[in-house]
Amino acid sequence: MRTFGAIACVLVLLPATAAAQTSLQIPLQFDFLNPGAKSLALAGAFAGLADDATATFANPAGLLQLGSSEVSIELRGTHTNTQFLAAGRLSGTVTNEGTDTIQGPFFGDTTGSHTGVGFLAGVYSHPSRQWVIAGYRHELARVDQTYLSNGVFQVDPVTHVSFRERPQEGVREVSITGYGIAGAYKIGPLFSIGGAMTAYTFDMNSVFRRFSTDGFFGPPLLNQELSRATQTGDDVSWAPTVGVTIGRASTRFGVVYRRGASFDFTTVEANNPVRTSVFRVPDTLAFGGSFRPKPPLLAAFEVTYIRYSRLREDFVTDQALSVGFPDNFTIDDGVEVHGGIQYAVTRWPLIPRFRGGVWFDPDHSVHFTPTGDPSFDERMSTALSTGKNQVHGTGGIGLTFGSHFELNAGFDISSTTKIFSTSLILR
Amino acid sequence: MLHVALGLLLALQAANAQQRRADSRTWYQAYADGRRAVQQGNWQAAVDSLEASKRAGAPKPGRRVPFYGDVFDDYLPDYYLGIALTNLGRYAEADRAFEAVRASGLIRPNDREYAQFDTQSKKAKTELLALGPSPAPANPTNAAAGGAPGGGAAAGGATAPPPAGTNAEVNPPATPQPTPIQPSPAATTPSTVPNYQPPPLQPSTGGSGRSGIVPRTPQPSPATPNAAVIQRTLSPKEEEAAVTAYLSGRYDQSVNILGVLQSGVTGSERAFFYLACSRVALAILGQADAGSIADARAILSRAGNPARFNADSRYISPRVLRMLGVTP
Repeated sequence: MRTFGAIACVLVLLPATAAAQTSLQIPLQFDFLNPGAKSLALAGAFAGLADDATATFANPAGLLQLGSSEVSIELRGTHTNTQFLAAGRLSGTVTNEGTDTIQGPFFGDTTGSHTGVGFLAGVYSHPSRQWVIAGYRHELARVDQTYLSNGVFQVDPVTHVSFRERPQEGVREVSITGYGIAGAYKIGPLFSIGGAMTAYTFDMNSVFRRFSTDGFFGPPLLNQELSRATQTGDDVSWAPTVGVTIGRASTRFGVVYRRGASFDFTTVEANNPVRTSVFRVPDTLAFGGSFRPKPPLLAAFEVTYIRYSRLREDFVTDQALSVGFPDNFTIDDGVEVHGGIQYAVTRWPLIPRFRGGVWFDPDHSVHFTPTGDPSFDERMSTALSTGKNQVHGTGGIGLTFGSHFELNAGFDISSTTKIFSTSLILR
Repeated sequence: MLHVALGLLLALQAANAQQRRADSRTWYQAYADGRRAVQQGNWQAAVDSLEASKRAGAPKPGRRVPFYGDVFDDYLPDYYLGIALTNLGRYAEADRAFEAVRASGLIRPNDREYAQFDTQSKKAKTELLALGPSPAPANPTNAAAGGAPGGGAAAGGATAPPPAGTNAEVNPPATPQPTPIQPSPAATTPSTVPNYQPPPLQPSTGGSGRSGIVPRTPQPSPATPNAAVIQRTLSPKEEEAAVTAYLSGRYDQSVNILGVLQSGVTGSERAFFYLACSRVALAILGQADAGSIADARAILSRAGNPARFNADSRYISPRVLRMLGVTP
């Protein structure tokens, strides 16, 4: 009973720390891939290619390549697995009582799926061929995560007393959609500039709830909510994109800079005052090239620098405030490397274009620097240990139906993400 | 001061004009414009766009050529150029364009373009042969009667010389007749030039793997006129029209008039001088390829001593003269 009383006391003292852990350990997955099934199949290497309506987002300067006005629509399905610390004993020996049966950490998977019109654009090419204007809608990010953590068991290194993290349920929904106007102007036969101004809508609804347990070792009692924290946001923000392309069809290079939008969101925690913080979408700077060594063969690459560190202020630090260590949580900027290739079989009906690619996705999860509190450090370093570099494989096909209709399909698969896309182009 | 201001104004205007002429369209955009203009019957615009397309780094004509993105389409500039030129009455150029199509084998009897190609190419050839000695409306360089590589079934290869005593002998066509060759079995010998109907286009019997129109035996150059044919001479009126066109900045028109000099038509040395200048001017404006300058120098060599044209040279751009190797 003494032991139980001590444990119960510890459990009462843990909620704030536990809340920080469970909301931060679930990385917010952003899809910064360029829109369109063709681009997806070419591993997103599109900044230097930018030769269809999806250039409105990928690199507006490329719009001037279009031989005529066109409309493009994409249906994209995304399936994302994210690991989170779900249960287990991080220190001490399992007692095999109740839920204390797993030695070491146990990670659960939270799966988010979304299918919808990922991209829609209309491009008007002026008969002078000197300028182009376009409008588009693009789903920049869709996050839909739900998880339930049983609460890990640990042993205090000083008192050698076992304690348990409170079970928590988290529901996180983030939606960012861009509505933009893009234009491009031809400076010379080989040089074009383009830009876009996009109004992004932001909608965030996140709820983190803590529950009581059936005794110290028992399962969570989901009908006994002890506390809750919410993050909500509903905002609109503008952000620009500028790009250039240099070269012609045989060899072309492109550079594009996309400013990330910033949105206000509100955090409400049990006894803390309501806070208004800023959610900053990472900026993107991409350089790419495309080459057509032979008429049916096309190769493209793109190197993309993404300022993921913008997410830290305030989105990450806001979640770390309650544990008192906001400076110990960081996110590194990342450099993605994309490469894709396409081969067209012009003698076949529908002129099929077979595409494949690969791209490197650097780890951009939240990193943790130890605080000196052994139990907290143990829990957080374990919870945030799942972030890793990834390699995505991509592929797809494009078909042409007559002179006005084009159909593309593509996929992107990595160890945690599966994306499928179909797009139509009408000219 | 007034002169300086006027000079600046003129320079600015010239720069603007130059800028307007600069065509920043890609080859496929210019081609699409040209094709659209043909459909609309806007023949001159079609010619301008199609020629711009060929100048703008276009690939070899063909079927299912990559245009941009995933757009693969047929690139047949000479076919559309031939149609537009025929409708403009520039039969020699039209015939040359059609011959290029024929030589490429890109339009076969089963193709949707064939009927139009057949009709228009026959029309161009008929009109060309019927022109007689009247001023040629266009440059018949490398023209139908054996000018194109191999001629073609409907061209020199199938065109037997008109029988003695026909209109053709009295009023020879604008271009000299080639040395007679054995006519194709399918060819018919016209009784009179105005009523001449070219023979049907002959399908290919092999070679390219497509049953396209293939060139026949190479024909003699039209620059070697048949001695039996009366030699046409450029009239003074034509020469003055060409000089006026040149001095008005209408270099293409000047080339159109004087271009016949390259097809065996004789003319004054001054006419050759202005033809050379016109070719260089077009090259400077980007309306002709760099090879045009070499051609121009060759033409100038037929004009004799350039010093004889010092009076004319005062009105010629020093840049043009320098590119021709003439000291301004």
